[in-house]
Amino acid sequence: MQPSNVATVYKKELLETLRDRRTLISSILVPMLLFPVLILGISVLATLIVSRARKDNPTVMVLGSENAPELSRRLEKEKDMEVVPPAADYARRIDAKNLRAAVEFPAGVEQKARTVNTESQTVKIYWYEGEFRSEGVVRKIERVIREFNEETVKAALASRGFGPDFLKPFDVEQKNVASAERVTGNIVGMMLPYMVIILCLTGAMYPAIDLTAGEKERGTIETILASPVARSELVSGKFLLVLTVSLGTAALSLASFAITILGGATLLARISSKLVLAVSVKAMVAVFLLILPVAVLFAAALMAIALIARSYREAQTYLAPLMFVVIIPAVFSMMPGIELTPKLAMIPILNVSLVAKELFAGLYPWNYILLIFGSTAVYAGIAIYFAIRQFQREEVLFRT
Amino acid sequence: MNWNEMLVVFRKELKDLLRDRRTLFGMFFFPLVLFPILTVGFGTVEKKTRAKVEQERFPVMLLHAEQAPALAEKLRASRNLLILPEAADFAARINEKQLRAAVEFPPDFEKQILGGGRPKLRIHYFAAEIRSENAVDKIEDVVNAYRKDVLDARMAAAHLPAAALTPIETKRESVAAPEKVAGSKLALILPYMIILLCLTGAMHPAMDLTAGEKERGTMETLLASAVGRREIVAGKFLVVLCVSLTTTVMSMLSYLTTMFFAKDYAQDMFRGKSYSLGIDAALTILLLVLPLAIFFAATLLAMSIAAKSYKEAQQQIGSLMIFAFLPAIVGMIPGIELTPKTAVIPILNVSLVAKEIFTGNLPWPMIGMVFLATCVYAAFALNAALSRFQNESVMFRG
Amino acid sequence: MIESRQLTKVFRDKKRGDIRAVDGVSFRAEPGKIYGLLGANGAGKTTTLRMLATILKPSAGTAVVAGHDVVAAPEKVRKNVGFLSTATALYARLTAREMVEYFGRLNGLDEATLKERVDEIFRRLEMNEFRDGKCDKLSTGMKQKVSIARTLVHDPPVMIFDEPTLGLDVMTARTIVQFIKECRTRGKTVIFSTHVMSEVEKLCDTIGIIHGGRLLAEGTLQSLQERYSEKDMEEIFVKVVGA
Repeated sequence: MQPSNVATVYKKELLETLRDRRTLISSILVPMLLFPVLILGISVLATLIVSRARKDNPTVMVLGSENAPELSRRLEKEKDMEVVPPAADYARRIDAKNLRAAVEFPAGVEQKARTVNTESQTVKIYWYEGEFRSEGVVRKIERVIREFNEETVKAALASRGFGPDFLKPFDVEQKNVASAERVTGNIVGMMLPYMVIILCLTGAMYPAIDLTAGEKERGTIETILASPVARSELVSGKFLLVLTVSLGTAALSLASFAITILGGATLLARISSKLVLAVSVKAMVAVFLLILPVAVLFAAALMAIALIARSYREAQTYLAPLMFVVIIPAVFSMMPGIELTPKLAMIPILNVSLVAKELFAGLYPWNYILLIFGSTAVYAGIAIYFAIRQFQREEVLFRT
Repeated sequence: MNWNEMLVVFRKELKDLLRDRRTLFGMFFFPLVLFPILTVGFGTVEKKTRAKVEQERFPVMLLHAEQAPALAEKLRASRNLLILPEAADFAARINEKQLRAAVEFPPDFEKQILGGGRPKLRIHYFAAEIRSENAVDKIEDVVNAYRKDVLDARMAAAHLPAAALTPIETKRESVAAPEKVAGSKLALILPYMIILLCLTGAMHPAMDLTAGEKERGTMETLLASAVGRREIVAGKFLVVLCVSLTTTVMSMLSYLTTMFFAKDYAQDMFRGKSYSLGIDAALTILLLVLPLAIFFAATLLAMSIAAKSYKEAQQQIGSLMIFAFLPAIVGMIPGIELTPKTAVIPILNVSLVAKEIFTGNLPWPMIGMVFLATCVYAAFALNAALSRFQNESVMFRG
Repeated sequence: MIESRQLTKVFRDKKRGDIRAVDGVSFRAEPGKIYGLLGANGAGKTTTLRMLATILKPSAGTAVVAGHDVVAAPEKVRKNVGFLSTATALYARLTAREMVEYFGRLNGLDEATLKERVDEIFRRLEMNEFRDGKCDKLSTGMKQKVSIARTLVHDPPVMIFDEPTLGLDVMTARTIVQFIKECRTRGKTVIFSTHVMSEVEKLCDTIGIIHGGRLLAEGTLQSLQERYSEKDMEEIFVKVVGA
């Protein structure tokens, strides 16, 4: 096998690919824009929902307000909530979503509350279980009552000579001891590894089809086979191209993500002031190296399968199930609480995602890393072998 | 319109399409398989993860436990906490995820409490890490119980009843009918999926019958025959509509069957309430989907007729699909509701109305509005499709 | 020089069993002469030519092309062969020049020689007008020229054409025929397949009639006319094949 021939094939495929609009979009534009758009989109959406929810004032009914004048007053003063006059059909109106909640004060509840009793009194709050806005106002009502409770109890205790600390025997403070990089990495590690893997796959798909089934469809495969380039050189050149595109997509996504995090740090800080975000470059590089054999595996497997197809469409039909096979573990690995265990480390591609999670969190479980890298490399090797074999089979190259 | 001619086109296209494996797959196999897998799959995974979380014993460290013997005892007794011996490198171990949290007692913790002081307890943890946060929750459960005991003791010592701490207790009572309770996130996705399947069901046939026909070289032959353009469009359109509706019906059937047979899994998803649809609700949804399907079929036909090949049609339609999915997704956001304003926005309105119907409501006036609005859009789309078919520069591009 | 020795190709079809597409075909094509392979669709012309070009591997038999054995040294054969088939398939997104250069490089030409040859070919075939045009935007005639150019760029001693004028209009077909004649003048060994009788009559020095994978008759136009007592090539063909 002559490297110069491989290089010639590779350069030509690269030239052609870079002129293809679809590849440019799916392999360059999408990864660059995906994360910023996603993150921006989510934050914008979140702000929108919150502001909209605030705008249309949810309505609340107070039944028996004469039994709790102070509480009723407080509820009326409460912002983002409107108290409507009492009516008998509150249950129906709540059901029809005209009313969000109704609170019922039994007789003499406030008076009794101010004295010391051996039993607590119960105030019922009628609501629409599980409904977003209803939940919102119910929480407000509960908070108002809770504050009232606290004040009353404090006053009762004070009149007996007990200070406010009586109710608070001790304080609890939560202190985060994880470094900013690890915290970020942990959050990021939940989603990012798999998204990069999926992008690797989708980035490789189109060129893989184009360079195999696409050539068959366009009729150029015979032309190239009549030239002195050996089959193995042809496969290698094409494979390297698909790999380049796939890795390019992965690298661009990672870079775009890093930039988004750094650039949008202020935006995110507004949502969660507890978290300081930082990106570990070391982790990024390590994850990239880990994804390398996965990209090789994808490139070779996609090419080997797509070569069987006679046309573009056919190739897509064959490869579509592959997308599912990769996506389903993706969703699984993104579920909270899924961590790298010996059992899960056996499952290809999923294991890469989980180990990448660990890397992002600053952990380096070397035995896992080596095992997973090694096993994926083996799979990749097998896939390459198959791809080369496919290219040498006449029935595959000249299917009618 | 010559109905006989149109039927000839319709029958041939239908026969042709039903011999296509890809169409059959999308029409029958996919929707029938999708819902069971989603329900059972997610239901099982959710069940298992929740069970795991309940049973998990989080490794936790107590620092200076001798300063709080009673509380330390309670923590040790917790089913969900595994107390490890004290060590100085707790922070590093938390970082390495070998330790989930560390509880630090200040000097004379319990003594101070007895004396009426107010000491501060510190819990070290790994922010935003699921298991660490869970461990902290479990620790706080124990701590809160301890706090309650202390308060009760204090109240008793002051000759006050313990109930005096909470003069008013609140009790929530749901007045929505039981079937109406909205369940987990998956329940919100289902109406959206029905719309999604309606659309994707129409995509392949629409592209195949137009761009695909051009690609295979048979479009010219068809146009040169005696059948009129109107009849051709109508025949093709009806086929696409049939396929799309079949896909939708299949999905609804699949959904209902799954809910019926996989009750235990479904119950986990819907918080213990069975989530089936009444016949009238199911029929109403189908009624609403009809104009939507017409709208999709006509629009897709109009769009794909301009493409030179199936591949090109796919590329164009693919990029525009996002605009179709977006309203459907927005409809899923909690808090966005069906109002006269939203009832006229295409696709979004059907998504919202479906959401209502799935929770057991049948707001007839709104349903009527949505139906009418969608019918109007469908009519526009059909008109557009017809005019494109009669436009030579579109039919004979390149 | 092309020498085919009992060239055989068997295809395995799941439903129909073994198909002997080419069955023990032997013939010789001399340099400076044009050999025409005449046969109906499915007779085995394309398969034979593909074996000569080492695109397909023979199931049995072999061939010596430009002094190399197609089974033992296929790469060496390919370096000395120019192959042109019906699908005038070009890489759509490459320009005419890039297309020709690519194949020049694959055939082992160094950059200096490549540039020289490309310039020469483009000049001779009057292609400089659309030199930098993308292949998918060229007319059929231009595409054909690009195909010829890339076949010629490494100046191979053996030229193999598989139905080169199929589907082309009169003027473009004439260009091809002209080109094939030029190859002969330059002393190349030329073999081409067709089922157009007029081409056979005009071009071929030796004619081979292939049917059902077998070479049924061979000879110059004159010898065939005498043997089968017919002047018209079509009538000769029908007689040979009918028997």
